[in-house]
Amino acid sequence: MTKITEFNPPTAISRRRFGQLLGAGAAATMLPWRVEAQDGVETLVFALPGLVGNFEPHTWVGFGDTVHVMDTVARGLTHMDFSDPLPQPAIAESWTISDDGTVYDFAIRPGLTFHDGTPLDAAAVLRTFQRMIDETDPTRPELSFALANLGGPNVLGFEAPEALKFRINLAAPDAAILGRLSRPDMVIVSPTALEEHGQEIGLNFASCGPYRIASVTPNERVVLEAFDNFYKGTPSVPRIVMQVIPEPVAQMTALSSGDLNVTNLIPHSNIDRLESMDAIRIEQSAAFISVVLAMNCVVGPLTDIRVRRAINLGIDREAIVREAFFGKAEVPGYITPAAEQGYSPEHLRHSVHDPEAARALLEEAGALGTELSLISENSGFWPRLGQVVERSLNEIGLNVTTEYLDGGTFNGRLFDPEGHELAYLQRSAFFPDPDGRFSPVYMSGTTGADAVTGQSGLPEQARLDELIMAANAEGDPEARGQIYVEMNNYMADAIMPVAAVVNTFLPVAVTTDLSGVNADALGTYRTFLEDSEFTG
Amino acid sequence: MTGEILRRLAFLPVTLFVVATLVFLALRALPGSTVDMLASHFATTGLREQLIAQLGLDRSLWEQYLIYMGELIRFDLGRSFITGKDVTVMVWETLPVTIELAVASLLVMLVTGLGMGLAAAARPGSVLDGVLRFVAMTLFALPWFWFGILLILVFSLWLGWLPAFGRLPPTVNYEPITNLILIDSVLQGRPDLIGPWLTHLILPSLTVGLTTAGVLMRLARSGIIETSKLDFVRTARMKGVPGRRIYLRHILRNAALGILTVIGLQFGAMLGGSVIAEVVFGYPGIGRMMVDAVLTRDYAVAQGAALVLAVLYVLVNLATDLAYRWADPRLRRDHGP
Amino acid sequence: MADQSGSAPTLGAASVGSAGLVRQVLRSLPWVVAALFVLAALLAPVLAAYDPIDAVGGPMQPLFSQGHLLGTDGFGRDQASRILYGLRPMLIVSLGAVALALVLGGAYGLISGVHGGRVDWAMMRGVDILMSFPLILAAILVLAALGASLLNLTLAVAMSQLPIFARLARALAKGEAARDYVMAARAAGFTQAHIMLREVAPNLLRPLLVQATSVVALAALTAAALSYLGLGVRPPTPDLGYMVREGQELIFIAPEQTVLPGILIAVFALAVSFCGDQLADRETGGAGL
Repeated sequence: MTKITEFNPPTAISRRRFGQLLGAGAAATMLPWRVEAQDGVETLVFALPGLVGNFEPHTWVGFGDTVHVMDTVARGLTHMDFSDPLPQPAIAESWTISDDGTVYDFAIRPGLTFHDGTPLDAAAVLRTFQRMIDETDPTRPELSFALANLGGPNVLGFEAPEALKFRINLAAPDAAILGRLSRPDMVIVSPTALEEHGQEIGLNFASCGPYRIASVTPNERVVLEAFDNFYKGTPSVPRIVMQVIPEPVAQMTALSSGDLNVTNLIPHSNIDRLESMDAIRIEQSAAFISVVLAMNCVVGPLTDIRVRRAINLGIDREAIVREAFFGKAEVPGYITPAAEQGYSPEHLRHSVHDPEAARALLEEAGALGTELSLISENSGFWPRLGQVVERSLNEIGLNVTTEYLDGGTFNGRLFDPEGHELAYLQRSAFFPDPDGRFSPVYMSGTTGADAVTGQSGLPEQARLDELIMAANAEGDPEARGQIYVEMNNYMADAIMPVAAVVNTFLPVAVTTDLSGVNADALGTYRTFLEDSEFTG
Repeated sequence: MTGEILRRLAFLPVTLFVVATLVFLALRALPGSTVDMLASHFATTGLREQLIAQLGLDRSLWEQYLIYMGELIRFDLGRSFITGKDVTVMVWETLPVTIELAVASLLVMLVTGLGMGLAAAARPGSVLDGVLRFVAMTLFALPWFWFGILLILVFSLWLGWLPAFGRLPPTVNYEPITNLILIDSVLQGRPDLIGPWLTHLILPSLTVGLTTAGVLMRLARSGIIETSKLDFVRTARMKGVPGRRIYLRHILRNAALGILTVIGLQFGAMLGGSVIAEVVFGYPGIGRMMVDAVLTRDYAVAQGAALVLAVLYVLVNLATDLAYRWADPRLRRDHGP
Repeated sequence: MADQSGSAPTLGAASVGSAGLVRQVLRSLPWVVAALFVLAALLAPVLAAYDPIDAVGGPMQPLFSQGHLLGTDGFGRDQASRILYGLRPMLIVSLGAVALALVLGGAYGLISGVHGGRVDWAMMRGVDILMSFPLILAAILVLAALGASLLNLTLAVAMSQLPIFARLARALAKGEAARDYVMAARAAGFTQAHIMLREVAPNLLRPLLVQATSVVALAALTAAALSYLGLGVRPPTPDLGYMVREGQELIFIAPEQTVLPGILIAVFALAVSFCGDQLADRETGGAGL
């Protein structure tokens, strides 16, 4: 059992209290105003974009539930903390891979338990994974995506040959699977809780992450307590409150008053201003979030690769970094960002801005003055980005009209092959493996390649599919990285189904009394708070 | 009178039927579906088809409608595509928050609106009257989405007096029973919740309440001025009834009739219309849930929320009308129009 | 809210020349302000120093910069020019929506009121249902289904105002229908349509117009709110409501970018409210509703 830390005096209480008295009138002063740090426990407050209160790992609920909370309360076999391109041990302390690359044996760390006290062994792990693959499992949620995210039909099955040995059998080798096992939907769930709650496990969640759920108020907050039997030891901060704060102005206000400790939701425009405040530190994160402009290769003028190349040359990425992201972003190479394996500086040639060459290409293709429609979402940074892109494309002689749509309409048209010509796509790294940006999006048979870019039908696509499979069959990280370098070049030179637009990150703001926040992970949504520590 | 009430209550199901049908059809007329939202995270072409079938979206519109109506008749609002939760549960989680905010806003509106109205009507045409009328008009003219942000800037950021988000400080433990904090603080014996709860309620309720107070002020003012010109007031004056008594017993009572109607209408509007305040201040209300559900095409949630809000609107207005009839002796004798 | 009791209008009771010049000036002020808004919007191409869409200077220049009175936004666009052009959508939508609601709602109420009986009852229940539909949901549904554009925004705002006009027109028409001249026309065998259009409708026009003036402000605020939610005109077309939203992101760096457009929306709504108020005063003859 940990000792509860001494009461930590809240900042600026006198000024606040004075104001509250002044602002609210004398009669109400009879009431106790602030119940600061009840029972004297140090609390880290984290801002959520939303919270449903359903922590079912095998469906997608929203960033709040499915990523931020899940990462804090649950853990899987492997872990990727974004500092190392290779997966690290988590619930599995080590693993061995068969020579043909199709059998993975994981040694489960001994002595662990779930939050509800159930012992964590291979049988428990098997129970969670069985739920992904067995469609008749009564505890399986209606829309289970987990198996698809782990590798789909390539995953043949799971076994628990020994008390602490768990096995995954694959049809073909898949070098990315260790990384995928660190996704938030690959976490291990308590079998006792599963038996008891079945499909409602998400409402009564118990896993083995650094924090356990103390209470949940849907749409409002979840209170978490440090878990003593976490595999890395008890986290230093005893309590975390994840509070829904959708409005950026409210977030920034709360940050400056010390009511909020960590957030990755503030707009890029405010970083410099926040950095100048004494109580706030902006953590530098690597740019793992990439935005690309998808071009529907099977409709109208976009069937001509010269037009697609012209669009790629016409995008003024420097202006986007400056005007849409206030300098807090970088000009990309192609698909793989600089922070991941498989990136090479030579990729930068795919993202040069050359309006003259673009215009010449359009002229050659007889496409000057062509009308094109572009669809974008109407929230977040999209309208800012969209205005700069539209401007620079019209400067090279196209006639682009952007439609700013709500999320539902946007996605509806995005996945309708006849519903769009140009559209933005965003990819973030849930785990920093280069495969995550290729096989789920640009391989034949995915909705991305089939419906968004339509590249599946192009003759050049076969080679890209081969490269993607070859990369996952390659066991040597060095050689594998090299395949991704080639893959970027091939896709840009031979197909050009998307133009890279910008690479960015979610700005992470932290109060200065807190250290050890994993900013690279938070910059791409992943939320690993177990190493955080109050220092001031 | 009872006849009219019964007639209106009997009409409630018709209203609900029409609202349910309209929302059902309008939602399905929107481009995109939940599957597309989910597919944006992970999908192969085959999985997408499978999802559509699992959600029952491959059935014909007519079939989906019949299923929906069948559930509705059994008071089953269905289940959310995205959260997997029962919509009835989700409504119970969010509705109390909206009611809390609406009641607080209504109080702000009543206090400021009536206060200014009474003060202005005391001396029509005076400087005070002019100033108050101007203030009322200005409050009405404030863009509410903008006003909330300004309040945060001034009272939270610059002055540091009031919290900018949420219903309680993050450090306070609170497990809802009814999710109405005031009631729960009594049920759970937690008087310590009341203070922080009130401070968190001030800015959002000011945002909604002040921007609606202008209408009430003008109505209260004109109601009082008009009533004081009526014959029975003059008669009472001539009879020598003291001024204060006339004011309270006759003028205010009569003016209250018109005010009641406005309150009913505004309260109905506040229930469904404080979406922006709920977003700005991070209030987990039903309006925000409904709008989010429309944007993610979570049909059952949007339908359920719209229905519940429609029922509340009708009931609130019915209650206002009843109060109106009860307060107005002339209508009490009347048996409907 | 205007008085709907249908009492005979009396004119000119409110303004007696006793309060003198100050009062006169104060009374004409809202008309002047409203007229200025309309003029500024009409003359935007003449008044604006720059194109509102092009980047014409360095981004984020502060207020009173050289050549940019109100500074520039994050894209280097001239704020003053954008504000001038940004008045247009607000004016077009608020005036257009009110006009549309007046015509449609007026016609609906007229038919309901003159017809009376069961038709009237059914038609008014229709209005009740429309009112019980959460407004924000209706607007979002309309704009998501039809797409965000100036015309569709106008439709959505008009829909929100329809019940006001329908109810007023119906109350007035009911009053008129009971009068002698309508009875006479009925007795003389005129058709229902003739009675509605020729006899009753002209008498409704004035009060409906007065009501229209007093709801322009509400229409402008609703339109601005929907634009703020990203449901209005397409960026980069300038629009005050959307400028509030774009500027909100920069609130800690350049608060004027969100504060100024908000103030302008408020001033316009204030001015037209006072105009409507004065008209209503004259119509109802006094209490200054």
